[in-house]
Amino acid sequence: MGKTYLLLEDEEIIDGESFGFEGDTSGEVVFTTGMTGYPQSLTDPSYAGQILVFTYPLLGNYGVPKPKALDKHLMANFESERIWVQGVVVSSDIHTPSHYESVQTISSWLASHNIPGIAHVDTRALTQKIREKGSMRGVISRSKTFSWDGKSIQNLVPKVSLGTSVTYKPKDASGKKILLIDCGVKHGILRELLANGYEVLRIPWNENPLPYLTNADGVVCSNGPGDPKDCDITIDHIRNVLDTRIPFLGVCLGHQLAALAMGADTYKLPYGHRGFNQPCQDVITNKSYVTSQNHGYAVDTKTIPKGFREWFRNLNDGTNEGLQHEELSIWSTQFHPEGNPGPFDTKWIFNLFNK
Amino acid sequence: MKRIQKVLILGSGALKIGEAGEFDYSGTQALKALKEEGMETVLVNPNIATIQTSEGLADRVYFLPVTSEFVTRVIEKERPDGVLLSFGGQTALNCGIALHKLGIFKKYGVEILGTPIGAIIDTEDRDRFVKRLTNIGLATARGNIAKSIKEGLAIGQDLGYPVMLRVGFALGGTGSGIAKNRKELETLLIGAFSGGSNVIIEECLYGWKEVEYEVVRDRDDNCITVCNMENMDPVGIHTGESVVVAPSQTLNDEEYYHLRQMAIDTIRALKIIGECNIQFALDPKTGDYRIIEVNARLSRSSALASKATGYPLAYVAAKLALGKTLPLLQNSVTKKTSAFFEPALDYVVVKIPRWDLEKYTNVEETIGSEMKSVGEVMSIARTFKEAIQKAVRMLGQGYEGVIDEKEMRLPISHIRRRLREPDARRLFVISSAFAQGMSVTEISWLTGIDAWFLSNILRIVKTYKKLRGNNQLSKELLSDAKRQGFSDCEIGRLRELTEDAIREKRNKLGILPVIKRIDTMAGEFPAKTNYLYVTYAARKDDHIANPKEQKVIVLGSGPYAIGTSVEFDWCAVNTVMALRHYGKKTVMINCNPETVSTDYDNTDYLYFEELSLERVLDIYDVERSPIVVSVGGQIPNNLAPLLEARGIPLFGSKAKTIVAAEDRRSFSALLDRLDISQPAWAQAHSKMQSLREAKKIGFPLLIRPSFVLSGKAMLVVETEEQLRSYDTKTYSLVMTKFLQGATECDFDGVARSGKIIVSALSEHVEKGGVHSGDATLVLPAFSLSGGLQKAIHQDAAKIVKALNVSGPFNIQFLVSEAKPYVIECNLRASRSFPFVSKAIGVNMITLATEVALGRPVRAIRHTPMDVVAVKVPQFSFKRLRGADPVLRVEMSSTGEVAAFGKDRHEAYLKAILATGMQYPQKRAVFLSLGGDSAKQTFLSSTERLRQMGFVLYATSGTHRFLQKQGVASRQIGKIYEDVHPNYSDLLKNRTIGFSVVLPERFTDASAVRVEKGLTDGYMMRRMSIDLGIPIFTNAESASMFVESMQKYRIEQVSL
Repeated sequence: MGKTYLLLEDEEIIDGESFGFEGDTSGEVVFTTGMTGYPQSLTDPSYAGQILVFTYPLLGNYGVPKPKALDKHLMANFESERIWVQGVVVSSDIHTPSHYESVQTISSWLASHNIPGIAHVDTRALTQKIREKGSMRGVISRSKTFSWDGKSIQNLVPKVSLGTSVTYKPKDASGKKILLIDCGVKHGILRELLANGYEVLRIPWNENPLPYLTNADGVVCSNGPGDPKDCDITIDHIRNVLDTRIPFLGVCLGHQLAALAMGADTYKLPYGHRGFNQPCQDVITNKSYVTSQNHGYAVDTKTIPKGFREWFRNLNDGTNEGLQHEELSIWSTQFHPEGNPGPFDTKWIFNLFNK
Repeated sequence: MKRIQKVLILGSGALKIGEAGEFDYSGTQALKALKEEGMETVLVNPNIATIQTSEGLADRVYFLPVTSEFVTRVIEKERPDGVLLSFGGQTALNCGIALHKLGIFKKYGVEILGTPIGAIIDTEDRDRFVKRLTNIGLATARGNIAKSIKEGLAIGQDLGYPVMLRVGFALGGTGSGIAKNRKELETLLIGAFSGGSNVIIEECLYGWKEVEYEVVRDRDDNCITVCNMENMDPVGIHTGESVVVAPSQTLNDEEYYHLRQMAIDTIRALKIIGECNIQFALDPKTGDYRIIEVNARLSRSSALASKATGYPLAYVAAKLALGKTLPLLQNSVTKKTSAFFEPALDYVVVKIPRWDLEKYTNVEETIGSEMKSVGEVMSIARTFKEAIQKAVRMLGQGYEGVIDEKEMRLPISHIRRRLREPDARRLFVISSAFAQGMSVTEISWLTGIDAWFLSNILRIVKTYKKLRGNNQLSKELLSDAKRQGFSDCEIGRLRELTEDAIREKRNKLGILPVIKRIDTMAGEFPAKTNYLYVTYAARKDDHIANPKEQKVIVLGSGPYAIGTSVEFDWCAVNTVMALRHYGKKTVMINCNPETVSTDYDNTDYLYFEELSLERVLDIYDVERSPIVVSVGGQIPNNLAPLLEARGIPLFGSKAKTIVAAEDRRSFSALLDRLDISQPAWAQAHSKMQSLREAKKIGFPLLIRPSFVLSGKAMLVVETEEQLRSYDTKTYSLVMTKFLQGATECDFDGVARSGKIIVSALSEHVEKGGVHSGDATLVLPAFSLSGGLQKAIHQDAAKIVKALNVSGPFNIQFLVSEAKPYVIECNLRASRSFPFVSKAIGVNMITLATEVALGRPVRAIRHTPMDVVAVKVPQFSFKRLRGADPVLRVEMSSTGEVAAFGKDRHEAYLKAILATGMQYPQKRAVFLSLGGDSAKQTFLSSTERLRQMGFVLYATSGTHRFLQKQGVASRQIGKIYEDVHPNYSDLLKNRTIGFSVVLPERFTDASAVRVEKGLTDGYMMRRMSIDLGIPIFTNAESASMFVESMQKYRIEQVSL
């Protein structure tokens, strides 16, 4: 365990202890308030390009399980096949995990994926800084000197989307078929779709979905990293899909892309929503749900076009958390109904295609 | 639904094992919530030491037993629109169920607010509970109800051993236990059927993890789980006896959120509105689960969850009961976000129970499925290691962390046994096991504790060894030790340096504690509260003190323990209230999650922290304000001289005078100078000296170490032989002439610059030899002549003047042969402060605070009282298997109640019933009158009993005595002689309404620690407790009870 540093865009230098991979990395520094689920969070493609700060001070308590695949390109216990974060920031990483499924420590897992981590950081102070100044770029480096290359974060979706099409068959088929536009889909969404009996065809983010619609009962656009406005091509595709009036569900980035396709606008949140305790209210039924979230952008409620309406609202800050068409079966949620990590109060949303 | 304007709340009564201060917290929050909604409130709670029964909270308070008889009369009189049953523990819930079954609520149109009564009954009745949960596909422990021993054994056979036995409708699981074979089950069944009716035998989940969720639901079906908590100790050890952590540490995301979902499914199925606690067992090897229990009410765990997260559960539950919904309520921490959310913690919380088993004779010391602890502490830190070490220190029992040097060299075989059969010192045994090279795997196997927790303790032990080594105390090592929660004191001891030297070194090296805030959102939103803790695993302070603010630091009581109970929380809270009233900002330091003082909205700054010298200095360094040490009992009191020696200003009484009053020698000299009588005494530093001095003073003698509260290790010795056997290794010994048959009184008051401003003289019913905390107090005094009372007052005035007291004080007097003797003086608020304050209608704490603030206060001559107030102790002997329920100079009660009446008999009758004593159902009594003076004292009562038509049963000695006195009685056999009918038969057949078993000598149990089962008296006393037949072991209180019964019929007493 050597000394290492977290260098922030505003020139603050935080020293700490290195864990995981002994190396340097850079990314947008964001925080999550989830207290469990680090194997899922770290493999969530939406975190691509980011250095993740865990506000819970202990990381790695229950170790890391052996990766289990349910199918080709479908993990049972992770959200993708690899770790997507650029780096990890914690107060303490745990070297003595305990769980019957654990096969290694968080540190060795990160090391095997070449992901550097920094421990002994006052993550609460860092979180407060991000809260006040907004998320910022940062570098984990073994040296205190680092020159910013001025490189802006490019579109990450091409990096996380699989690049080929895959068909998944459910165990108990309902007969329905779902076309999934993969912008970096969390495998939890795939597992949930399959659990509802849908056969799923997963296509890359930039492939034209229209040719597949004749053989689909609905379309899902997945979560993914970054600014939705970087995905012009997907927005165009979704616009075409919506025009066909086929049932549609957008999740997280998929929600933002759908909103842009409808003609609404999105904006960057100062520091995003990342955690498992985000309260959302269904403004139509007034029912409230605790949701799992991971996003840095949001849909501007004021710009929701005619024919669509707000579906969910964040009870903390009032931001938009979901949209639906006033008549058609078109829905989208900013949060992750599948949980994984986090609560799955809203899992029923995946069943809407069966109704 | 009719409009609710007036609400009745049932309290939980006295503090007892299984039902402690947490219900003062929940009731107080409920009252605040109701008040906000403009409701009129009526409270029934005989616990006079609580905050909830103080002025300004409920509109009307009835100091009455929480029983269906009394509550029915209150309903009849008050005609409330609604009632809240879930804020007063099991006592209130049971009373509510009884009232519902009697149709009282229906008769008077009282709506049960919140959780419907059907749901409450579903959770209380095992059979219905299992059916409801099975219907929604949730797993409960396999098992069945047994109505007889035979049935029980059949179920055991069916399930396969080991099995778990539980008794229904009981707080904290009395009579529960694990049976490894048929024989053990039979023993448990015999015990269980003697007490309860509803016995459940279940598959044994020993070694599974125990995990709890606190779940909230509103009438619109919105649900959240506020917190989950993991018991470090496995299933099989009562959650009240376990080390508990929040959030769970060893559950992965799937386990965490699947249990959460099942918790929500459960609360929905049961249709609970408000709050409930759900306990799960989780198999650490497979992830399989069972739902163990649902508590459809606020509980000890919910109080802990509130303090652990900052989410005001009781307050929110009260609002939900009135029909509010979660999304519309505000998060009272952020004041911005909604109450519909689940707190994210960015710290680790550890709760440790506080046991006081050494205060009892013959008590079983192992811990298990029954609760025995009397209090708890909660610590907050950013590593588990730091949190658990802090928590151990918070217990206030002299430990510096999880390592106790005394336990370090136990033989391995002894350690193995104690790991398998845990006792109150299990943490120390675990660290000792590590120190001697046992592995995590082996200890985990023996204890059932998850390796994660053990690895952390192992790490602490390793650091301890490094600290003890010859290596240099480097910056890295010191910093590492602090992150792992080592105290300066312990590091100093291991390095043969003083605590101050380590502190100085640390300051020089820049290893400093950091103040962090609890905000429910892990920093995601700005918080308004000042709910703070201190940690070394951080770098930047959340809280910067504003030097312009006029602040006062108040030290709370620490954990509830024998001798330190809710009365000190009342004192601390009232001090804060008075200070705030006069525009001061207040800083509260306390570590007891069962208190109102640790509600962050009661004070300007709350440090949920250790009451150790080190931590108080840390906080003082930031807050730079004077400190109140006189309202939190012995823990803050003991800090006074240490703080003053370091130049810290105290608020109110000066440390010098505190010591002058408490140091035996100087105080005695002072009394001599003032010409005030005191019992002859001497100090001895060796056995030889003690024997010499004893000869001079003469037996019997009261002996004890200096500086103690609640009579720790205090004994009466009658012979030289007994004195020889007394162990004096740690303390210097004080020996005092024991005045037999003396009347004891408590003189409580507040003084300013040596002048008494207000005072109250309460007389004890029991004669000297019973600890004042175990005594029945009557205010005003009833047997002392006017002249004597005046003499006592004059003596007190002299002492107060000589010590130049400014602030609260308590002086204990003995009256022997019409002459007062001073036995003790303490310059701090005493246990009886809330009682006397409420009885005379003058808040002594407010007054003491005004004195300290230098406000003009005039002497108060309160008008003679038109009522009599009686305070009665609450004992928890039923919980403490084996403990001898005899009253001694050592305190053994866990709480108290008080009631008011036209005379002391009326007040006493109400108060004694409020301790849960059943009014005698049978007009028959058993008498075993030991000791000549006790026989004489009780003689007139035997006449009264005859007059009331009681049949008197007695053993041979007592029978002969009564015969001589011309009182008819029926003789029964002695238990050990196996002659029938004997006492055991009387109890089992429920022949008698109550018993009076007076010990042979007043020193029966205290002078000689009798071998278990040696005396017939002990067996009779213990059997009465186990079988739930009321028993008196003191002649004076027994007489008081008989007189009260003769004078008042229960339905005649005033409300």
